[in-house]
Amino acid sequence: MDGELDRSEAGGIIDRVLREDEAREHWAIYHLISDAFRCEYLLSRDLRPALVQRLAAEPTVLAPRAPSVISRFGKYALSAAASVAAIVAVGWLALAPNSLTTDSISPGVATVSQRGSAAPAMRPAALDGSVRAYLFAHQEYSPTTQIQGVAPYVRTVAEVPNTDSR
Amino acid sequence: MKFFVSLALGLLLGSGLARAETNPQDAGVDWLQKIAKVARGLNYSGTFVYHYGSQVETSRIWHFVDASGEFEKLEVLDGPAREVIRTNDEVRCYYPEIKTVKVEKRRAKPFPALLPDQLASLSEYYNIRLGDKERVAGREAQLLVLEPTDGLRYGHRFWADLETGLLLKARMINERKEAVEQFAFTQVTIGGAVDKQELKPKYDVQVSGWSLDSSGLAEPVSSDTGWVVGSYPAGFRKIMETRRTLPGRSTPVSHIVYSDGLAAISVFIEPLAANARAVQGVSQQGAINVYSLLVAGHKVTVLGEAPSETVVRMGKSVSEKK
Repeated sequence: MDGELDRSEAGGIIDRVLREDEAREHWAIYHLISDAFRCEYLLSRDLRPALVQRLAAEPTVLAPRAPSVISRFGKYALSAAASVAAIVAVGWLALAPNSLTTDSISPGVATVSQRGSAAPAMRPAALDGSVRAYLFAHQEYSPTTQIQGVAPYVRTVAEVPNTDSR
Repeated sequence: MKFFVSLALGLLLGSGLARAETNPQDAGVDWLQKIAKVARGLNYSGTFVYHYGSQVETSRIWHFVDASGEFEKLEVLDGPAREVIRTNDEVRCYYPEIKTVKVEKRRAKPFPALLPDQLASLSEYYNIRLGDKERVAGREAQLLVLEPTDGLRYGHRFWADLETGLLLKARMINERKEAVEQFAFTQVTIGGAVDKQELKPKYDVQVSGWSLDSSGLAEPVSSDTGWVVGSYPAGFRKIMETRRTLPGRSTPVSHIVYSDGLAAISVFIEPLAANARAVQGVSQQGAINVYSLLVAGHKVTVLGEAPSETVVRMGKSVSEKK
């Protein structure tokens, strides 16, 4: 991320992050801390699932810091992150009491995503037949429809509809 | 810190531009008008990619205009086969997997509906400016930037073909500056003749036991639904209120639509069936946020191309007319 590692080193670490829970946790924690220091908006989100999804979607661009740094600051990082994470979790629950929210960080439009194991979690939770019928009905009035002709119909034909909608 | 620097820079640049051009807002609006005008009158065909969330879909599109009207075909190339064919305002969606054709009418006003007062409201709630000239699908394109002045609507980036004005790429941007949805041509041929054969559906509906779902054709009649939406973002106005039938519903559904000229938000209200589970919360489909809640024994669903805050706020303000 900060260009400290060359390509081959980074590749190995990314593999580790994808493979090992502990490495992934370190990765997430360091980002949480750096976000906290910079007061970035991401803090208000539940980071972990989003990060895991992002890792699945963007296998090439992310590289954590070297392990030596982790061992030096690991202890402090863990406790600080734990308290931050707790606040985040509480805040998040308060915001979304019914947890239907698909908390998808949009993974950058230039990325061709892998339809990996994280994909099902990205699926809209409430997209049952009833919502799909609503989407169709809404489409007729959406002004953006006009500018792109039928292109926006990809939105609603994105999946085969349930014939027995609910 | 970075934010403030870029903000200051933006202000500097902004004031510079304002001096250079008498009114950048007008130049932007001119381009919007141009995009809207040529979209319906050009022949073109090409391949475009649609991104939303982590999903990517590639489709082919053909658009053809002659004296008898406008024809358009869209074929989704990834996943289950699907085709959309539009003849003027009639839209047919073919789902070969379940052998169903869905027919519906397109009822939106031409975009953007540039009545003078709406135009005024557009530039009141979006900062409209011209961006750089960039290449899209091998063509020179003019970037047009629309930034919302509040957090209640999405931003837009439009890349229009410099020569013809055809929209080559469109991106919707959320309040965190992330792209929530993007259409982009990867290859496009503009002008010239389009083979009309290409615009025919691949599927022969007559012979093979297809079913026709024309429930979408029933013309909604404007009527008082007995419901009110107490709060919606400034600049939005009610463009439709009706009671309509929807596929799979035995009782009519109330449908109220609000629009600011760029985005639309729909409110649906229907009685909650006796044994139904009350679904509540926010979900997302591409750029569309969906919020459902229960109001006085009715299921209220608000959805549209707007931030979740907007649909939630509107949903919570829905009440029965006294």
